[in-house]
Amino acid sequence: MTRRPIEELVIGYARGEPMEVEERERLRAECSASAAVASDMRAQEDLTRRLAALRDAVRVPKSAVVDDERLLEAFRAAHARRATSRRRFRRGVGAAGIAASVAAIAVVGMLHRVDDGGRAGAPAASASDRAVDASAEQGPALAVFHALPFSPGVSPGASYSVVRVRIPVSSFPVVHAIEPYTSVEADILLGPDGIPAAIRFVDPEEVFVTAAADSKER
Amino acid sequence: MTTTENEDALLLRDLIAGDEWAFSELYRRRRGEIYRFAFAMTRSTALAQDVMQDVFLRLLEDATRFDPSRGTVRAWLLGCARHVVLDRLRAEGRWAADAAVDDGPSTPCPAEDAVFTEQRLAQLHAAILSLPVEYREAVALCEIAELSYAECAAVLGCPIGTVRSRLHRARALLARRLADIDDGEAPLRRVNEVCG
Repeated sequence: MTRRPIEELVIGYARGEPMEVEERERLRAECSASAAVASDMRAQEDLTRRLAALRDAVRVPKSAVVDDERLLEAFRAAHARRATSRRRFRRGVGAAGIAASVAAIAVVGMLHRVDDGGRAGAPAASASDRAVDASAEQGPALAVFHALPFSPGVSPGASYSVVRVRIPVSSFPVVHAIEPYTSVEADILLGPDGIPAAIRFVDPEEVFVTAAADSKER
Repeated sequence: MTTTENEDALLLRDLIAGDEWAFSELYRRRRGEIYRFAFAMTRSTALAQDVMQDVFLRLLEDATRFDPSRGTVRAWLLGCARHVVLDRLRAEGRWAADAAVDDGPSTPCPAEDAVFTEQRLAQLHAAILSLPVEYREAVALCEIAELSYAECAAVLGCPIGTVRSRLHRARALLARRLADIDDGEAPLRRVNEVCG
């Protein structure tokens, strides 16, 4: 066992800390032999008493209790906020699931357009043609958001949130992905009502090959 | 973990789930030591009350951040209290020890013994406030809030040995300061001086 300095033993004893029998004997011997150690011991014991008196004298004032009700109100408000955000999150996750399915349709639409790219007399722009410029929000490497078919579109000034989802390629009925992709990552833009409004693919769109193009190549 | 600490953890879990009683109960259990710690650090009832409220308001927002592997709920709450106190001391420019004390002797004029007792406590508190802040924290946490060395170490984010040595140095300084006072450097005032 390490031999502790006598000052440490004095303070430990005065604080009522547990002490080995051997240490206690050593302390007793030092107190008998040295007036300075005995004086330190008295001072430390007195300090312990005074600190205890100070501790006992400090009480939470009654005026503080008045604020208890305010705290409870804050608690109720905070809990209500948390519950709302949990509901939003659940709705968001549910919506992301729907969005993933809708994304499949969007991908098909997009790739068909790619196939028909050079053709004249293309139909008037549909909802999925309207790319939403989200360049302010995203890095330059990411694609723009594509409005989802049947979505009300993106209104400027409204507040949206982005949920990142991973969509298995098998969920796209008429689209294949090149190796080694088995799933693709996409960001879904959720409207203030929790309804998916637009999508952008984190993985490059070139990973997709339509069934038609695939069979053409073969 | 002791039964009380376990109960604290359960209360925290329940309050996260929205149990109002759990919040009230945790507040009732722990507000006293938070107040005592803040008062020991500042000697201001108003500031200590603010700190107590702030800690529980922060708890409402940050309860889910509690990590039981890093210490007890009590130590975590006192850790929050420490941050609030230090922020307030910095903001109010009261980082160093000062004599800006808002608690005069209680009125109406108390009996002589009570005045002396109060003055002795005030002297001790002034001596605590004259300590460097890291020593003051050790005294406030270990002696006034009655935390163990391990809990105090969790609050301060330092090893137990550091807490022990800070507390021992603080106590040595306090004992010397009080001895100076008792030897007449700052004699106690009599009742008529205090009460006019």
